[in-house]
Amino acid sequence: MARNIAQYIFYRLIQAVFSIFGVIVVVFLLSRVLPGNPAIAILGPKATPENIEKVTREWGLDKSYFEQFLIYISRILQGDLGDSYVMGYSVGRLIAERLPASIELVVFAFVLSLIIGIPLGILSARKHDTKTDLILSTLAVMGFSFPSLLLGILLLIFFGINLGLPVSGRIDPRYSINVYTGFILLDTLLNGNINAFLDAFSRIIPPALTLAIPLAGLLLRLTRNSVLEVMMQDFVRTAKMKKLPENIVMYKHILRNALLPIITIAGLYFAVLVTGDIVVETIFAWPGLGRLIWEAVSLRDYMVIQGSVLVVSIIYIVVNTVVDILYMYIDPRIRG
Amino acid sequence: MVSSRLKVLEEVLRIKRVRYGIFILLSLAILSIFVILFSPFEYDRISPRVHLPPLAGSDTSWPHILGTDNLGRDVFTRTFYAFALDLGCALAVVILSGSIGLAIGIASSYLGGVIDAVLMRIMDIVISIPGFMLAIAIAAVLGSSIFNAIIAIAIVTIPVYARLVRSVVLSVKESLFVLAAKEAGLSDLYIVVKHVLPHVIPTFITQASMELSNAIIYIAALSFVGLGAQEPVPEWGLMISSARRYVREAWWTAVFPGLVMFLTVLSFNLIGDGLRDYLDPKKRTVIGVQVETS
Repeated sequence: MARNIAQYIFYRLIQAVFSIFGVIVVVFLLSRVLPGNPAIAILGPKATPENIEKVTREWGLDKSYFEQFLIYISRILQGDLGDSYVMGYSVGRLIAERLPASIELVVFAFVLSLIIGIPLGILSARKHDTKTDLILSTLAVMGFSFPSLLLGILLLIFFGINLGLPVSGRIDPRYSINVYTGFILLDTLLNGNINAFLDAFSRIIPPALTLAIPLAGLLLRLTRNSVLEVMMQDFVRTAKMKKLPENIVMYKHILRNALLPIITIAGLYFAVLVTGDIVVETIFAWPGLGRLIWEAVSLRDYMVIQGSVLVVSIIYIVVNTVVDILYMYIDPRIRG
Repeated sequence: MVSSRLKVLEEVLRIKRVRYGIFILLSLAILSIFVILFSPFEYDRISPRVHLPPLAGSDTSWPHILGTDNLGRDVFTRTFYAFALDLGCALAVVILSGSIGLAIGIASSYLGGVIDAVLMRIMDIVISIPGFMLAIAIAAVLGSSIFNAIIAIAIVTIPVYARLVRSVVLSVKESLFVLAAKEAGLSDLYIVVKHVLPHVIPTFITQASMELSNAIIYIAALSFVGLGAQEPVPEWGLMISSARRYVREAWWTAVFPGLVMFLTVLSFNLIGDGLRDYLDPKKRTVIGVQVETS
């Protein structure tokens, strides 16, 4: 058994490494299929003759594609994503500065969607084929059809105008906070500044809700169907016949089995959160990676776009690999 | 054959969700055609009467039903022009990526061996990049236009169809009637078209219906970011992007395009959802999802 687990993890890790290599190849090819001089694309509006010469030397753009790829991949492996001539910093630094804000927002939204989606899904399954179920199922379809474009605007209006709360940025600039972790909710607490924490907390709610509501709709549906499927199985009937209290059957027997498949699917939906994240960070002026990508697009800064695609894809691959391995630990059935 | 197809259509139309979806979609389409044919406003005519609220009077026989935007253009007219535009673009995406994905899926499963392995590894790589990020990277390379946005989104969604078709074909390939057709000396191409494709179509259409709603979201999001439609093209994402700055003064310029977009996405999800349950007979009975058939 143990050997099988090791084998599985090894196989999964190899697969992840290949995926990451594939992503690097794709991003490299994309930056080189441009018609015309790739140096001009890298430099964008800053394409002066001196800069073009510098970039050509730096990335070996006058050499063969194979040599260019070797230069490219060796720099990537050293964690060097190149320089943004438009923004005037290294791409790695720009991304590292913005990443914590995005991770905080996405994780917060994810937890929020679990808190909303799973209990409602259980409720829907318990009352299946009643009016409650119908209403919840309808809300779920509406939830995951909500484009973040509309939801973001509606929540901006509701929180910003109707409730008069601050809805832009992560925190009021008048709070000076020592940065320990880069996650503002933690940092404000570590600074012991409750007012700053409340300000940051009230600002993360609208963008996080925008990301969470569609995902909550999806989780509601998945939980409902998964719980219903488990409810039909023999061991549940046995437990019920033994006259175990309904709550114990629900939480000890059904949920344990029903929630497993939801975890893997939730991992895959990270990609959906990324799409929403770019829109949401733009609407709520959230200074994360999504906002950086939006800025890079409007400044025609291809180096930053390329670097962000690389970083987000690698995070996505790592998250899914970890989820798969965890899943295998939790669910003995899929161990070979 | 014809009567059995009609029967399937009839059964599908009995599914409530499919019916609601089609109803919403048809209403929006009729409104859109009506606006394109009869609206006295042009979608790109700028006027000094900016940010008029909904139902404000105009100098034509129509009021500004949904108000005017920051350049004095009629929001109602623009929103429903955008319906035609976004739907057309989404269809283009699905047709493009669907047909390429279909071809790759069939080639991969039928030819097998090295070709299958290479094609599927490429699909694996594309799928391991979050779709919208890849679409941004491709669109940024191609340059900002709605046409390039369509190409970028189509490329990103090809693997979905390729994998789906491949798995269905692989399961049909070994079935008795295909083997019999082979034994009878029919050509591979004939067998694929006559005996294999009909089995692919139901799953394919269901997927395509869901992908239409995805394509709409992607097109609007790319335009919102600045990599799709450009002014003065009436497109939902672009309209919301320009209206975003004036939400305090004129909420209607952002909210109404978003609402119509939401209804369109919702209707495709309802149709796709209903079709999926219809095709999955296990769900129809065991889970108690209510699908009214026959």
